[in-house]
Amino acid sequence: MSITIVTSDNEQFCVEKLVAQRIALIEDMVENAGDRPIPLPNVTASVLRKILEYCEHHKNDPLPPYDDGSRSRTTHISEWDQKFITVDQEMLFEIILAANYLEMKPLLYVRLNVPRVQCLTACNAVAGDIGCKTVANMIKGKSPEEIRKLFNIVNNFTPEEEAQIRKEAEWAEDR
Amino acid sequence: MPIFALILHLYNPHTSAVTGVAKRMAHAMKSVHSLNRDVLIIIAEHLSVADLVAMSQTTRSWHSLSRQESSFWRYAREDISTVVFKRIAPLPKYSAEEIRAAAIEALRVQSKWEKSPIIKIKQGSRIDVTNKTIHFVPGTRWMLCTKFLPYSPSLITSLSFEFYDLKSGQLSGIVDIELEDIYNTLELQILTSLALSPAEILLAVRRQRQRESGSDDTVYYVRRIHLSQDNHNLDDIRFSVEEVLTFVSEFQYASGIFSPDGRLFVIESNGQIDIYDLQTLNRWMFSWYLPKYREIPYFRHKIQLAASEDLLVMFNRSTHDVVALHIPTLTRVLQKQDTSIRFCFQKRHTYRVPMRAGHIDQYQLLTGRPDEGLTPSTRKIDFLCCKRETNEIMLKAFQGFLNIDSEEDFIDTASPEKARKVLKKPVEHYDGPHSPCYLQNIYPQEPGVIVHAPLKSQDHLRYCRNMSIYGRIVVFYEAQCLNTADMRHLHIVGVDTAKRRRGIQVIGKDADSLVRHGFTRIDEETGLVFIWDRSGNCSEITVLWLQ
Repeated sequence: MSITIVTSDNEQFCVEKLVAQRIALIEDMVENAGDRPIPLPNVTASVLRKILEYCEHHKNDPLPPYDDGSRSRTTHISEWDQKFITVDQEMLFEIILAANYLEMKPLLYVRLNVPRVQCLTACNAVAGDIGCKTVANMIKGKSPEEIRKLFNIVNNFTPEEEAQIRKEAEWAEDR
Repeated sequence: MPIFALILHLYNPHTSAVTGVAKRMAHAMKSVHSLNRDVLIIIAEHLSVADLVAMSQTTRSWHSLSRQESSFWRYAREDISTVVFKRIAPLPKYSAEEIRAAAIEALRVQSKWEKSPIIKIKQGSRIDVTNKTIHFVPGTRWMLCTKFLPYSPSLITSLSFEFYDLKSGQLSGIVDIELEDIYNTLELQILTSLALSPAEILLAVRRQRQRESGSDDTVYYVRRIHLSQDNHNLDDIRFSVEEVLTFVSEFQYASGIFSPDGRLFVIESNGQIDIYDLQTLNRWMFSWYLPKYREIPYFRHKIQLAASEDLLVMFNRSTHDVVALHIPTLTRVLQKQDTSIRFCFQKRHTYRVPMRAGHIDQYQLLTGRPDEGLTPSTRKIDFLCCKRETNEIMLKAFQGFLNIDSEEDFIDTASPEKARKVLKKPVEHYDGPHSPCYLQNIYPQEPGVIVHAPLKSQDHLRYCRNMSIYGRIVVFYEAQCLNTADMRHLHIVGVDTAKRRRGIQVIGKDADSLVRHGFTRIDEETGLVFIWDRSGNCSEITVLWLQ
């Protein structure tokens, strides 16, 4: 069984239901939509194509449990996911925002319904969190200036704020 | 119109007004500024304290987020030393602003440790501990004193712990633990402690006792100490005690350790390890052995325990074998069994530190954390050891990678011959992000040696003593002559990453006072050094803060 999804740029995708069910928002909509196409006004065709590629690859993975506040700080990303998320920054942020809008926990992030220490093992089994992990990995070990340069951020602190921050950042001279 | 139909209608690509907006939204260039608060918080969950502070100093919006949203620091706050918080409170009660200030202070202390070639003593205090036993709660400013004198059997009904604030040198409060009074107490000591937050300390006390009949056993008291503070007078700190667990063992000796998430591991003299989950109060027992060491008496003396977030690591001092148990997997299996089980570690399950026994003066076993870039099933283990030669101190470090089996590899049997395997041999070729092989000699020219510390004194009497390892820091004294203050040095040498050495020397008068005393403890997390002088009739603690 397949369903039709329409992107913001009016491209139609015919998707296997098992694959589409990886997207929580669509899973909720599909029951009520009947045979009608499901519109995704915040997602472009190029982004949806990537997301469906992810869903297709992970269609047989167990769905992540609900969040219980457990800690999952490992930033390990599996080999396939690593390759999948090797995209330019604009596409990376598009994927993160689309995953957020589509309520796709594994693509955006994952928290597991297990005690904190168990979570560390279980994370390995779920290809989760890759968008945010990727951004976190990009930030790791960098100075504020390097982060600005990386993401093309304009320094919008006032001179007074800047002075205060310089004082705070004395510890990080070699960062 | 039903709500869902209305939503469908509004988002229908053929309804032009909404489609136009949606299209503009979708086609707008996406940048890091597009990420909303929720997404930024999720990104923050993966970052260390230092990375979060750097992130907060990048742009005004992220700066505001770090000062307004406690969840920005949700996990990182657990890694901030309890000492740097301005007031005592449970972690969820701190505002984002308070956590941010503490994070910056913690990074400043850490930076001092790592960068200062010669350090000045910022603050010092002296505490008289004559006729007391002492215990320092790691990562905190608290020292606990008891008046019980070892090896003097006595009937006691309660045990008082004095909480000394090492920053001020003042006695801040006393906590009493009630004891049974029908036993002689032969020995009493704090087994281990753990600060869960600035307002909560776990304490495990071991008491060896004797009935009138003469039979001995050991009782363990696990208590949670709650700290609270008067908002108007921060010096007014109150301590209350909560019973968590009391249990008795027929064995007389044990050592123990808390894992960072609050599980208590007790290794008894017969080699049995008891695990206590202090949240559920479940207790599990398991025995483990290497076949040839099955009958060794005083087993605990040969075993050093280390616990990381998800690993319990045991080091056999005689053989230099390291075995590791994956705590989540272990407890899952134990929960299913509901009984005690036995593990038999074969040679292939162990990692042997490549050192001859005679060469090790001091050693320290450090386990990597799951979030240090390794996969959840592969963990780094560092083994640091010290060797002193005529003119130099040599510190060797070995890094091993342990490959932990998945749960499926556990074979359910109580038979020692088919015991469960928890640890595979070290991986031969690790393809992780940081290290290419399982045993990494950091100095390729001289395998294993990562720090040479030549002694400063070049002639006459060389005097070097009290070499100790604390975490990644090695400390030793050196003096040319016992009566010449200026020629004495305290060396604090730290090892961070491959080929990176940091060192601190305390010279002159401070060094003189340090050398005469017996060096006792250093805590890198808090920047604390304390020295226990037991040379005269009085016993005194000298506290130094290297900040």
